[in-house]
Amino acid sequence: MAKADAPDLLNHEGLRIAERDPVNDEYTYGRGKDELRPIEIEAGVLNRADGSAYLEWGENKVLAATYGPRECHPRRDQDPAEAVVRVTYNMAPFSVSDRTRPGPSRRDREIGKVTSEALEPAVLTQLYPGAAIDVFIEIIEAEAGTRCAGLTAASVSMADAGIPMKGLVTSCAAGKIEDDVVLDLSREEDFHGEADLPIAVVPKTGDVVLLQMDGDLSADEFDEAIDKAYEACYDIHDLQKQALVDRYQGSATNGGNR
Amino acid sequence: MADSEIVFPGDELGVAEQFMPGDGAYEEDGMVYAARVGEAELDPGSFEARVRPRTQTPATLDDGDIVIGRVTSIRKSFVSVDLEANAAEPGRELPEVGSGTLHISKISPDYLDQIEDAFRIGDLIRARVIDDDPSIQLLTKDDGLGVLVARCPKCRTVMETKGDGLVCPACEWKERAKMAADYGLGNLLPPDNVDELMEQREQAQRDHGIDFPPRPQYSPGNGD
Repeated sequence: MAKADAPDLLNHEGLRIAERDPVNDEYTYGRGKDELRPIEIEAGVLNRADGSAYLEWGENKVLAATYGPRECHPRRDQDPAEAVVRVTYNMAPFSVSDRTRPGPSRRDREIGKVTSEALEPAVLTQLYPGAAIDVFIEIIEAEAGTRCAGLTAASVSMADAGIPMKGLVTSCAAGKIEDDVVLDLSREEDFHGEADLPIAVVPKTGDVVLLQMDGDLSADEFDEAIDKAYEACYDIHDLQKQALVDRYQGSATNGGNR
Repeated sequence: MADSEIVFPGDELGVAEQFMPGDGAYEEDGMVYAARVGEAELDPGSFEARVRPRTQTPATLDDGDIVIGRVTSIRKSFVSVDLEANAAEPGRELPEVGSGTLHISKISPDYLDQIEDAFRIGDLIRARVIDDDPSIQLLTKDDGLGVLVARCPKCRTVMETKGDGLVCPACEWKERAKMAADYGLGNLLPPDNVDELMEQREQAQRDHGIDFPPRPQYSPGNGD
């Protein structure tokens, strides 16, 4: 099923590529079908942002920053009834192997739009009518699944900014490689695989706030992929919470707004 | 300080029959949940469930808060002030709150014949919020409140104090102003030594103050 020059995505034991040696172009296998790439999250990494987070997910490296709620400019974007959540997704030119042109591409804008639509339902926007909450996602290094990584980091940065939310938003993808449904596609799997299905979940409410699909899945495979990604979101949710605990462990409460 | 349990957005705090959602909490489907990261606080006295935040929180504006603002327009009896920040939370921008209004009667403890004797458009001022609903009303009567930085209306140089008035170091333009005691010192909140600064200013006024021509004083019942 794999294309001519594609590596074997699964080895004889059914394990996936875990690492690539770029010098000899050799692959080491060892990742299970339901295994996530290693994820590390750190909250509060930027001084001048109201809230921020840095996330590494496999070889993805993502910075997210939140500003606001603040006055919404241009004013035509304002909503007199609630705050608007605006997301800017940007890939650094050096984030991929062939340099990307700086500036918002068609793809960047779409990802920003779907990310803001995934974050907004979790925010108590009615508390800040007329205001804007600006979230910036910078992809420093990309290795498949940047929208999931960006969204996961963005939610931590919003919590770090103290934005009132119904819950954190967590995102993860599942996909299909060599006729198998697997969790969290890596670069090779995304490129040579058959399908990619990123979803985002508010684990506290169980709501699905983003669902996209690239490629073909049968109805059964679709259900299986959703289940896998949905379940993984709960594991990632624990990592998000741990990042916030690590940041605020031992620090005093700041007393609140009264 | 002991680490009590940290709650996260979406964690259950209690049942709506038992608690009202307070600061940092929200109610949905009969339950009260946390809306931010912090320590849960269930107040049996006021029946409120709150979350004391561990994170920074968005800036707020309430009665009694000190704000930094810029004078944007001057009318016959009031000035409009663009609110830049809550002086106690300078790191966070204010959510959209519109502008504040400062009535002529709330500007100075003395009678003020015309607002131009206190403020000019573009002045950076410190004021206190005396009403935040339905619109934001401000006051600058206290010694620690008033103009923080003003520019010369002729040459835009930053003006310096000279006794009770302001003088432009470049073109020697002089004008009256309702200055904060710590004009030009770069503080956001009023300093502790406001009285001392006011005494120094009075002394300076006696020593080398500007002699402005007298303005009409308020006399009750003069017809208008």
